[in-house]
Amino acid sequence: MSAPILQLQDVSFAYQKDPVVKQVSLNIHPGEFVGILGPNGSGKSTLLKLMGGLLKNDLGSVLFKETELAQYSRKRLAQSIAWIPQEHPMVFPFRVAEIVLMGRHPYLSPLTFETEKDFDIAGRAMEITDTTHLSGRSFNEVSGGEKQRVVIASALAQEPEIMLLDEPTSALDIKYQLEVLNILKRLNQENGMTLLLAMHDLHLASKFCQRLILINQGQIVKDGTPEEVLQKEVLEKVYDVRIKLFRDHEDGSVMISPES
Amino acid sequence: MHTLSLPMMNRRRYLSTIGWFGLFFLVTLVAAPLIGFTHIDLGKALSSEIEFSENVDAMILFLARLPRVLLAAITGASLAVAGAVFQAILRNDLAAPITLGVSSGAAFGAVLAISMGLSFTVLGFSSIPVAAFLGALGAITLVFSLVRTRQGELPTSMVLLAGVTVNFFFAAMVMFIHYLSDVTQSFRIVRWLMGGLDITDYQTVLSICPPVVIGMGILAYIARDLNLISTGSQSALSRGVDVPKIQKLGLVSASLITGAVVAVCGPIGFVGLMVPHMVRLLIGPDQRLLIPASMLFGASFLIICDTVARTVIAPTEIPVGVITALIGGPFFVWLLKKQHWMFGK
Repeated sequence: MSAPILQLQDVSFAYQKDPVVKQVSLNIHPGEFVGILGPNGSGKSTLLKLMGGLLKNDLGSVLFKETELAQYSRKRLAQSIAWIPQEHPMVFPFRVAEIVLMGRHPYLSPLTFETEKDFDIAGRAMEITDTTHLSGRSFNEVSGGEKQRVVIASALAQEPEIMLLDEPTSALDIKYQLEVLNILKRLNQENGMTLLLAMHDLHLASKFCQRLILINQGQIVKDGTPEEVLQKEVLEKVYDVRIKLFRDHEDGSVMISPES
Repeated sequence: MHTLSLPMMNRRRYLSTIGWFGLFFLVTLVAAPLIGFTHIDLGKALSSEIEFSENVDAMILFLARLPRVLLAAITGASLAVAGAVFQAILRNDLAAPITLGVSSGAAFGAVLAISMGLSFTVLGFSSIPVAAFLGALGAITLVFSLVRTRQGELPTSMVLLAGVTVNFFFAAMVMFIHYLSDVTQSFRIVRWLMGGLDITDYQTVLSICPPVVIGMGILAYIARDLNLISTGSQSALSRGVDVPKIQKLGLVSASLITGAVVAVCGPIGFVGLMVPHMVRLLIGPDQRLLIPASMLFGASFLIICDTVARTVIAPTEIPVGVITALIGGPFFVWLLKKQHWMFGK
């Protein structure tokens, strides 16, 4: 196996006093499609932010290509790691193309305009995410699913090696969920993009991700293939519910139904 | 060939937009000094055959009106740019020097300096502008630290609440100082608080240029970073913006230019709120264009307001702050109504 692209070693983090992430260690290899699962407040978003360098870990170390994140400049990091938030509140009426072009920021110096090359890269990112036809629309006016695709296009314009997505499908209906996940799957398979997604939907996670990391109260409970991680007893304990678990024998994905 | 079917930002679009705003500014700059209660004969004013000391038309034009128009231009430009930047950093389109308490912070600093008869100089700047800058900086620091959470996101409704609170606090302090001062100082303070451009000369105009030029230069330099911050501080961070540094640079520079002009003209309201909105409606929210365009349009706007202020019931002059507040009040209500859904968040 190739060298890990992203490593967490005994990472702990607290917003105030109580640690939200406790001594987490894991390795992410290039080209992996990883789902991060866990109940609300288990530390999924925080973990992603630590991996993207948006939060500074209190203890341990976060390494990108075997160098501490803190050693990289902000711009250099943004050229390699993209982070996509769950919500996209936008106060000002930027247009879709402007949002996508903002992804070029880490490559531009102050007092300069985007060049033809930047337009090309942004244009390609919009083709991949099927957002070209939206380019002149106001970002605030497009639908939730379209917003998510636009923001993915903007992240692609950063030309990153890793994309961190915080619940990219939670607010979407099933059609948009599949659209977004299929775009990500294509990126992973065709471009070798390393993907980490915080997710809630266990079924979709098991269908699209090669590897799942289940966390609870800031600690890793289980880390492995969907089959290894999504076990009835484990899930019942972590989510504190009684469930029935079905396995789809065609693709190995898992479906869950609450036991009432 | 790229596939973006949109007039994207490039040197040509930039220059043509700035060109139109620049032209509008030049027209107001040239026209305003010619308008006024006393009719002046331009031919006579510019004539080189008459001694300047005996040329009444030239004296009105060059000594009374032109410095005042220039001061209006610099003040309008500064307040508008400060408003645009506060709005971007606080991600709130109701933010402005006046709603954030920055103007009253500056006023407090200036009034304190006037009443205590302070006379010191820092790097060649006299006490009132320095005190006004410190007051402005103090106010924005207070607002910013009140609303900032550990994750660096700014709750929208909190920003205005904090701004209003800080505004009331400094306004109360100004009243208190005013109450304690003697008649002469009291008159100076009242005159100054009304916001006026009338008592000026070229020396005053020149003296506020350095801080204004430095502040605006910094803001133009960080314009694209401000774009990203206006879409969210966390996503700006993930796109390579050094968010804390840019926020500090932006807030200090905007306070610097606010303090500089408030020290001379008093708190002139609503220019910083209205102008960025008007400009944004015309050309969109890209700060690279919004900052220079707000500068030019803010200058033109205050020149026009001041021309109205000194002619509408001439020979009596109304303080220009009255005019901007009369237009600004209803405008603010309209914005508030348009944005009321934001307060739920």
